[in-house]
Amino acid sequence: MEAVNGHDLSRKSDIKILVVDDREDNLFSIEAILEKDNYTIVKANSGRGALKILLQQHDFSLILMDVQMPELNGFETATIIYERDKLKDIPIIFITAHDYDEDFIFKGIKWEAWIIFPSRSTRNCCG
Amino acid sequence: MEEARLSLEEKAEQLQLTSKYKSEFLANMSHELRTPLNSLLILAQQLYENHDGNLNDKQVSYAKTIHSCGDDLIQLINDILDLSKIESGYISTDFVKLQFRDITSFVETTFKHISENKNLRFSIDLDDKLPVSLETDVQRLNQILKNLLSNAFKFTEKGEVKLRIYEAHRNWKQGNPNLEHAQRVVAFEIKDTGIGISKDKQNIIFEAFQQAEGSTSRKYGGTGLGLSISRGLADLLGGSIELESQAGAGSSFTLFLPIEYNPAITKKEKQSNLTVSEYKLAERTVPTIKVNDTKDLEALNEIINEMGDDRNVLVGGDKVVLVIEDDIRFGKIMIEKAHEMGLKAVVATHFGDVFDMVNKYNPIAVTLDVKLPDASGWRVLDLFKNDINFRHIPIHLISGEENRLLAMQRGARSFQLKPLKTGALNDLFSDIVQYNERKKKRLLIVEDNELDSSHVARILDNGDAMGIEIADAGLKALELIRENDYDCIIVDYMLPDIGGLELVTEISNIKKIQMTPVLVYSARDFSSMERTQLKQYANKILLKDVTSLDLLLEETVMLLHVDHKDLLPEKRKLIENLRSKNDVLTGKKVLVVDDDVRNLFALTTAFERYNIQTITAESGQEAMNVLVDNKDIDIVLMDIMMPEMDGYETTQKIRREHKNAALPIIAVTAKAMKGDREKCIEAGASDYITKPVKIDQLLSLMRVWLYK
Repeated sequence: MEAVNGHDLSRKSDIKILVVDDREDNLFSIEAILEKDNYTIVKANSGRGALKILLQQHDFSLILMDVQMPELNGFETATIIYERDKLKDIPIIFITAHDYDEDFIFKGIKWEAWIIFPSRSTRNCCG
Repeated sequence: MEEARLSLEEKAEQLQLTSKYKSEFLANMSHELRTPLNSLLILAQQLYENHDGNLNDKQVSYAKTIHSCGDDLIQLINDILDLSKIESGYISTDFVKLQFRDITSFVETTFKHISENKNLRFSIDLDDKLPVSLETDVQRLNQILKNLLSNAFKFTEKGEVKLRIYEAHRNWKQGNPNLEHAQRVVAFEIKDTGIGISKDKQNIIFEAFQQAEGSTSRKYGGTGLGLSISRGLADLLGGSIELESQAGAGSSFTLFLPIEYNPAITKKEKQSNLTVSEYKLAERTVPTIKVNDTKDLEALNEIINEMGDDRNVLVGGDKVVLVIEDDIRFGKIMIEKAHEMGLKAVVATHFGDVFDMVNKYNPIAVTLDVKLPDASGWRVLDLFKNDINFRHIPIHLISGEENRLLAMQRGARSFQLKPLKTGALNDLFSDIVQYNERKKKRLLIVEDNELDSSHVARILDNGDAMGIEIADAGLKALELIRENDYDCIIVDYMLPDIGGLELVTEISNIKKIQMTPVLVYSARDFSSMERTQLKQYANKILLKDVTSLDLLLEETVMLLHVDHKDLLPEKRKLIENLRSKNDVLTGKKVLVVDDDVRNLFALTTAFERYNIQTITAESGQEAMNVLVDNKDIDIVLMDIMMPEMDGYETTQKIRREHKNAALPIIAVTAKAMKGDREKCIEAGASDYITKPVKIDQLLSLMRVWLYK
């Protein structure tokens, strides 16, 4: 078993993704999709949690961010993240199941970020 | 009659409101439904894809079933949501020019394999009398066509499905003003050879949740919402849908749409009032640490006005002098004097109040007693002059000991020896008033080399903020100085007609310009003897060469007390660049201790802009550990209010380590807690700053501690 794990670890890609979602099951399912490609996944279950991770690690290729989270929501968290010069080039993809799509897309454009609606594009995001 | 009408109106209003609530509820609920479904779908798909190959066929089909059921549910939720959005008007349209060719190719790709799977003929017929394109919302149109065609294929077992697109000439049956007024109308006719719809059912199928037969749903699936949505969307696009059918003989649905978009007749979308909230993009450049309790404490502070100053009676346009003075009697004298001169005065009796009050009252000048109970006035002066936002405020030092030279060199506007004579006090306040009224600062450059003086004039040029005059000889300069009031004089040491030392001595002898700062800008390599002599008369001595021009700008701006904001943009940039290049903070390593990760993040963000290495700790214990692992920390920023081990305790523990004896520790305390300051210093903190922390002030304070 250890040999297998060791092997898996060595195959982990350099692409490191931070996934932020307050729901454990969402984190789990996103991880399930992404782990096939051996991305290095780091998970945070709140905006604060994401900030905490980003204090120490800056080498993410991408951040997947839930929009609806208690306390600090996705947009607020992204605002704080993008204030920091070191992090402002990391693309953030917002994930929302909410359906005020025009509204959110508008915000997404302001952010120059993408927004995906997982329930409608499950197949797309699973490739 | 009237009563009945009113009551009906009221009912209608209530109904509308209920409908709005219903739509809002549905929108929210569908989100709640989708969230768990999302995970369910993804995980079911992971299962049936069976990557590890350890599921048998039956288990894979179970997983597939879970997935397709979930998919159906999502479809239902989407439909409900679309319908509720149409009904409540929270839907927007985006009219664009759309080629008919694009419509047919979309339809063909979408339905080609469905027709092949069901063995049905599928034809698309596009009338060539139509224009090339129409103006409509492509997404909504596609949605309608998809709905109608899906139905046609669903209810047709054998035969064919036909889409015919042609120009309609008033062959619609229902009156529709949008269509009547349209120049040209296009019809999309979808005809099938399916089960058809009996006459008595033809009206209800457009109602939500209705299918022609109660049992239809079980056989054919579907939510029964498709037609309601389609009709709503057609309405939104300014058109309508009509149906012709006979049971057993197939159906024909026709969508009529205006070819040209007419905003006047197209249904206006309602403004969504369900906007979640407005997220402002970051506009502030430097984050400031937030505290929640500021308001209460501010109110408290306003009540505690022991000096009886003007803080509670200020109105816009008042010119305020900040008096930093702990002696209440002298403070009252200063307030009276200020009133005599038509000024308002606020008094800070503690160091901790100084910058809060500067921020709040935006004073035109500050008088500063060097001996404060809890801080050195020199440090306060350094903080003002270090801070790019405050350094233009003239500071008038008042001290019991003679230290005029030091005060001038550190950028004070004037120096007064205690006890002040009435005359001196009058001079002080009239200087405050006059200096404030003189918006354009007058600068004299004494320089015999024309090229040099033009360089100097060009770098110092700041439009209206400065008036620059040039004298090319010493005697001429002295003449000008006798006749005019200058705010700063820049002198070259080597002039043809007079010795440099003689010139500056003579300038300082002209009594009326006692407060005029003098800056020596010379290529001469001064001996230490010369320097000592010069320093008695000159505020600053700078070595002249091409690279020091920006330094000259920086020093002159400071001596002239010009607000950084009033400089030309390119000059601001020069100064900012210079400051960041020479910044003592560059490359320093700071440990930030705070239990709130947002504060840690905000400070890290700010510090990184100044190339300060930042290490963070979320608790006192973690801070101790960091200090053990990192021997090269230059300064510590310590939040006092932390759970478990608070800032006092942590500071004490850090100080107990011998190697940390000289480590600067800046405590961050809550505002207006007077006892806290003493407690911080007692615990071993080098200094303190109060919340809410202004980043500029914090950086200044750190510079003061790191200069040593």
